[in-house]
Amino acid sequence: MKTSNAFTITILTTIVVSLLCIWFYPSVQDFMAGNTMWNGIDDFSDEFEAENIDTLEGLPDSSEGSVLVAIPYIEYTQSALEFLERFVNNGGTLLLMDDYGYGNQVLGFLGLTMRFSSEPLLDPLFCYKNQWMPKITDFNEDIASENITLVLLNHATTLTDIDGTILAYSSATSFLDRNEDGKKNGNESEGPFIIAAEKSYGKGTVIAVSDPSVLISSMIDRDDNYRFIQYLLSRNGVQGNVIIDRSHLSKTPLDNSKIRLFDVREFVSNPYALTGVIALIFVVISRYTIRKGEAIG
Amino acid sequence: MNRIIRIFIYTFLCLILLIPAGTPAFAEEKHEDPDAARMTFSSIALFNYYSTTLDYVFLKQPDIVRERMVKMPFANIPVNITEPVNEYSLIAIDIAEQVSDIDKHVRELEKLVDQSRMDEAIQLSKRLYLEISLAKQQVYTGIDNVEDTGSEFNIERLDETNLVKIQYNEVIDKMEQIVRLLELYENYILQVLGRYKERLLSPEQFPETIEEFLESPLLDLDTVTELLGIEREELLEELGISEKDIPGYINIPLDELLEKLEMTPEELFEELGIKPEEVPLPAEITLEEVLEALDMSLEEFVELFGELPMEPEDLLEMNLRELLKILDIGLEEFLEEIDITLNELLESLGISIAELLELLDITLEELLDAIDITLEEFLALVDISLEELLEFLGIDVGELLEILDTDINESLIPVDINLEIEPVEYFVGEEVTFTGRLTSGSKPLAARVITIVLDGEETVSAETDDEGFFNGVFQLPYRYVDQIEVRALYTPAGLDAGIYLAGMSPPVVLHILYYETMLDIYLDDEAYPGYETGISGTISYGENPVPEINRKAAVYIDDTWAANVTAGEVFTSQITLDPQIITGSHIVIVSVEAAGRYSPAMDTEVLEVTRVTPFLDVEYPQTALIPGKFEISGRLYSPLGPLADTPVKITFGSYSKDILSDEAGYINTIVGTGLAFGLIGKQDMVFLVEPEEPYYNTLDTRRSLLLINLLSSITIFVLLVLAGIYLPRKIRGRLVAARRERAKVFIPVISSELKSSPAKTVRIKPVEPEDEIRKEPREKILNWYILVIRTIQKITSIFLSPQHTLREFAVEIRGYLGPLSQYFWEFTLTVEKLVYSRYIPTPVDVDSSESHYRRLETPPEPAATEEALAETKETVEIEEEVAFVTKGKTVPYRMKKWLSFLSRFDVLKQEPSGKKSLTVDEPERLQEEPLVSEESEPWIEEPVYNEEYAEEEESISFTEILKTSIKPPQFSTELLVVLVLAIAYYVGVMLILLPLFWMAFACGLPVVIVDDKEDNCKTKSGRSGDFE
Repeated sequence: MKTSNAFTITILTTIVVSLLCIWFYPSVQDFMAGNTMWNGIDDFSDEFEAENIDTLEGLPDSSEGSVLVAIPYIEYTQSALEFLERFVNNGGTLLLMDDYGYGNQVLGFLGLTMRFSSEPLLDPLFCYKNQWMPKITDFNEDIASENITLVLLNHATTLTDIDGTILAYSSATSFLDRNEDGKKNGNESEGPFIIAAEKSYGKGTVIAVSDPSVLISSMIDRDDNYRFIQYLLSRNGVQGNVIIDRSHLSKTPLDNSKIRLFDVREFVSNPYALTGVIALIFVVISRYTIRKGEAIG
Repeated sequence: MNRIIRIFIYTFLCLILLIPAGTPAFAEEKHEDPDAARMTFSSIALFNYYSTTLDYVFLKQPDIVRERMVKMPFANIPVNITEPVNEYSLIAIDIAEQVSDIDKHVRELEKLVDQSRMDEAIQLSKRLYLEISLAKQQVYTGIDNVEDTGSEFNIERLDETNLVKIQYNEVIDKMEQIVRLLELYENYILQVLGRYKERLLSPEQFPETIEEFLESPLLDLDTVTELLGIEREELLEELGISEKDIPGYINIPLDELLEKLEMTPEELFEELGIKPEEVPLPAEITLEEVLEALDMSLEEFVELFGELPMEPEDLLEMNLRELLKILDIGLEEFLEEIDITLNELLESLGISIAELLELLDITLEELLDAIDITLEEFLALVDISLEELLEFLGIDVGELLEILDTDINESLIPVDINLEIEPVEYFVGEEVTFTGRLTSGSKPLAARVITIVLDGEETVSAETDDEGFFNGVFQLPYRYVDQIEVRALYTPAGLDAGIYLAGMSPPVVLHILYYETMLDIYLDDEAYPGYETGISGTISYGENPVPEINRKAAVYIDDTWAANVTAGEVFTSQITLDPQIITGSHIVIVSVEAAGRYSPAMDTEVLEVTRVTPFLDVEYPQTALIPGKFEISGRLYSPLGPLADTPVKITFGSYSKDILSDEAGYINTIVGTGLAFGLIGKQDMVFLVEPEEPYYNTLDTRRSLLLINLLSSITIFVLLVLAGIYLPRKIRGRLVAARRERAKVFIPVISSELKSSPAKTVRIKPVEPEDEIRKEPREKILNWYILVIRTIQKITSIFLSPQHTLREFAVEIRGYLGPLSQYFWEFTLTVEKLVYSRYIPTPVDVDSSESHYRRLETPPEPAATEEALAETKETVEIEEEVAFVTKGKTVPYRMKKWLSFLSRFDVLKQEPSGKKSLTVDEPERLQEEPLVSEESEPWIEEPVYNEEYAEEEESISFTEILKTSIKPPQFSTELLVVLVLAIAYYVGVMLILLPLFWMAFACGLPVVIVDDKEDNCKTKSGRSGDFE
C-alpha cells in the first residue's frame, strides 16, 4: 500500500472513529443535557421537555409563557445580557440558578439589588449525609400550599439584598462557611438564609435560586426537588416552554464537539443542505465510477 | 517505514479515543454525588439546636419552638437516637406551650387579684398549680430524654472542655432553669395570693370553698382528662372507679347513710320508686353471710327448707343466686321462708352506697335527687375531706389547700349588685339607660363607682347614691351583632379595698337591631396590568329603608388596598391595576363601611389578570421577485383599541426593518428582498410587535410569500440550456469511449527481465509508424504485430482472448484472411520467437516483419490479384455492398480495401435480402468471454492502452459494424443507487412542497369554523386567502 493511501485511510478512519466517539460517548460535564450520569441534567430535560439552546440569540421573541433556565458559569457578553433582558421584558421567566458563577452579572445588568453571596452554605444538622447538602424546609405560603416541604441542595450558596418575594429559606442551623474550613467559626453568619427569591421585571419575572444542582439527575428526584422545580417552571400553574441556556455552561472539548456535531446534523437535515450533500455524493461517486468504470461496472 | 506509520496510526487513534473520556482537571466542586457522599453527624449542632430552642421557651414563644421542633425528623442524626430525638421534640413543644400558658394565667391571676375578684382568682390558682405540676413533670421527662441522647454519644466519657459536652451541659442547665422558673411561678402565685390570703377565706367559708373545689372545672372529669392528656376511661381505671361511682369514693355503708338521713331503706326505695321485691341482690352474698346477718344457725335453716339436695355445709359457701337455683325457689318465697323483708336483709348486710348504686343502676346524682339532698349536705354527711378527694385524683394541690387552710384569719365582705335595663331591644349606636343598686348585706353602699361592662369591655361608670342606687346612660357601640351582654361591676377601691369583695351583677342581655347590608360585586372577565378594569356592584338592604347617602367602599386586591369607591345601590368604578401585577388569578375584595344603623358588607371575586395579544392585519403581495422591493401595509389593533406608536420589527430572511405604527395603528413600509441563492419558494416574513404598554403581550406573527429569484433562475436556465447542448455530445463520446475501451486488446510484451522475474510487468504501448525509426528492432516488430492484430480484430470481430496463444489466434482467423493468412502466420511465428524466447531479431526479421505489416495493413490492389479477381464489374458491385454495410459512413481507405479484398473470399456472407454483410461466427462467445484478464497473463498487472490511439479511432465510426459483437455499456451500481435515491428524495420533497405551494395560492379553499355552541358554518376564502 502506498504511503499516501495509508495516510488517507488513517485520516478517514480517524474522522469516522472520532465522530462515532463524539456521538456515542456520553458527556460527563456538569449540567449537560447529554450527560446521563449523576451530574447531568438529562432527566430534567426529558421530564420538562426542555429545549437546549447554544446561543441566546435563539431565544424566542415572544417569550410570554417561556422559562429560560440559566446556569451562568461563563461570563456574559453585553449582547447576551441584552437578549436576556429582552426575553424577560417581553414576559418570559428567567430562572437564574447559580452558586459560584456569574449570576450577579446578570442581576446587576437587570438592575436588581439581590445578589448571590457565592459563599458556601453549610447546615450541619438539617442535611442529607453531610453539611454540604442542606435541607430546606422553610417556604413561603404559595410553595407550602403546593405541599412542598423539603428541598435538598448540594453545595449551595445564598441570596442577599432581596428586593422581591422570598421563596425559601435555609434552617437556623445553617451558616456561611466563609473560610471554607467546614466549621462554624465566630465571624461566620448563622442562618436562616434566603436560597430562592423572585422579582417581577418588565412583563416577566426573574427567579433566583442559589443552587443549580437541584436540576442534576441525582438530585431532581430527592425529596420535593422535582415539585419545587415544577413550581418554579410553572408560573400561574401552567408550565411554559422550558429553555436551557447551554451557552453559559463550562464545557469539555467533548461537549463542544458534540454540540458542533449536532449542529452539523441539524444543518444537514435541512432540505437544502441535504440536497447539497446528495449532489456532492452524486458527483464524487460519479467521478469515481467514471474513472474506475470498467473495474466497477 | 510501514512499521513507523502503523505505530503512528495506532497512537493517533488511541489519543482520539481517550480525549472524550477526559474530564477537565480544573473543574471546581459544584456538587457531589448524593449516593456516594460521605455520611457525617454533628452532635454539637444537635445539642446547640436544643439549647437555642429552649431560649424560646423562656421567651414564651411556643410557636417558634413548635416550628423548630417539627423539623427534627429532617435532621441528619444517627438512627439509634431517632426515637429519643423525636420524643424530645414533642416534649419541648409541650413545655413551651405549658410555660406560655402558665405565664398568661399568672398575669390573669394578678389582674383578678388586683380587682379583688377573689373567687375567680382562687379558681385560676387551682388550675395554675395543676399546670405547673404537669409542666414540671414534662421538664423532668425532657431531661431524661436528653440524658439518653447524650449517653448514645458517650457524653459521660467526654472531657468538660469538649464542645459536645459543653453544648450538652447547656441543654441540661436550661431545662433545670425551666424547672426553677416554674417554681418561681408557684412562689409568685403564693405571693400574689398572700397579699390577700388573710382576706380570702374565713373558717365559715371553708366548706363553701370545698364545694367550689368540687364544682370547679378542676374536678370536672373532662377538664382533668384534658389537662392530664389522658383518656377518660384511662383516668377512671387509674382511680379505680366506674362512671356510676362518680363520685365513687363515697363508699360508706348504706345503713350509716340512712341513719344520717334519718330514713329507712323502705323510705329510700319508696323515694326512688322501687318496690322492695325489685331490688336486686348482690350475687356475691353467700348463705353464710345471710345466716350471719340474720343471726340464724345452719340447722335452723335446714329445718325451714327440709331436705336439701346436698350437704348443708356445702351450701354455706354458695352465693345467694346459686342457692335459690338449687332450692328452686324465688327470692320473695325465700324471704318469706326465712321471715325477713328485703330491707332488713340489705340493712343487715351493710351494703354501701356505691354497691347500692351499682345494684340499682343509678348515678349518685339521681340518688341525691331522689332523696332531695344537696351535694354539700351529702358531703357533710359522709364527712369526706378534700385531701382524700385529691388523693384519689393524684393531684398535688394539697400544698395550696394547706396554705389556704392555715392562714385564714380574716374575711372580706361580699357585696350584692343588680342591674336593670328596659327595654332590652336597641339599634346600634342608640343610648341605653340603666339603673341598679349596690348593697352589702342589707346595707346600701353609697358613693361607690359602678362600671358598666359590655361583653367584657368596660364602658361608662356611674356613682351610687345614698341608697346605693345608680343609673346612667351609655351608647351602644356600632357592633353589628345580635346581642350584647351588659353587667355592672363594682371593684373595691380606696377605703373599700380590703373590706369588700368585688361584685358583678347578673348579666342583662340586650338584643341589638341594625339594617343588614348585602353586597354583590361584578368584575370584568379579564383585567390587564397597568390598565383600567371595571368593578361594579349592587348594595341591597332587603326590606329595610335605603340610606339617603352613598356608602363608602374600599377595594383590595390580594389584601392590598387598591382604591376607594363611593357606592350607591348600584355602582360602577374603574381602577387601574398595578403595571407590575403578576398575570393570573387575584382575589378582589370590596368592603363597604358601616354607616350608622347600616351594617358593613363585604364581597370577594376572582379577577383574572392577563395580557392582551394584539392583532396585526397585513396586506402584502403574494409573490415577490429577487432582487426587488414590495410594499407592506397593515393595521395593529386589539380589543383595547389600535396600537399607536408601537415598534414593529419586520424580518425577511437576512433583511430586517424597524417601523412604528401611526396613531391609528397603521403601518406602511417598503421591504427589499435582497439577494439570495434560492430559485423559487416560500419564505416567511416575521412581524415582531413589541408594545411598551404593560397590558400588551409581544406579538410574533409570520406571513409567507412566494419568492422568485430572477437572477438565479436565469442563471440556472442558461446553464441548463448550455448543459443540454454540451452534455449529450460529451456523454455520447464517453459512452463510445467506454465501449471501445472494453474492446481493447492488450498485448503482453515480455522482456528478458520479465522472464526471469514474472512479478514485474512492463507496459508496452503500440508505437506509431513515424516513431519506428527510433525503436529497437524487437519493439518495432511487436508494435507492428499489435497494430496488425487490432486491425484484424476490428474487421473480423474475433478477439484475442486470454486462453488464446498467438498461434491459436492465427489459426482461428486464417479462414477470414484468405491468402493474407500466410503473411500473418509467418508474422506470428516471428513474434512468437520474440515473445517466448531470448531470440534477438535480425535485420532480416525486421524487414520481413515490416513487409508483413505493410501487406496486412495495406492489402494488394484488386487488379494485382489476377487469379482471384478478374472482372471489374464485380469489383464495382462489391464496393456498392460494402457501402451498404458501412451505411454510408466514411471509412478509411485502407479499410475499404480490406473489405473489398476480403469479400472476394466469401468473408462477407449473403443475407436473405441478397445483400452481403460482415458476419461473425460466434458473437455470443465473444460477449461472454473476457477480452483480456490478469489471470490469463499473470505477469501483467495493470494492462494499459493507448489513449491517443483510442481517440484516433473515434473518428473511424466503425461502431455500426461492430455493435453486434460489443457488450452494451453498463453504469455503475452505486451510480444507479444514488440516482434513484436522489430522484426519490426530490419526489418526496415535491410531495411536501407541492401542497404548500398549492396553499400559497389557496384561493377558494373552503374554511370550516367550528363553534362549540353554534352550528358549524362554512365560508370560502377569497383571492388572497382571506375569509369572513
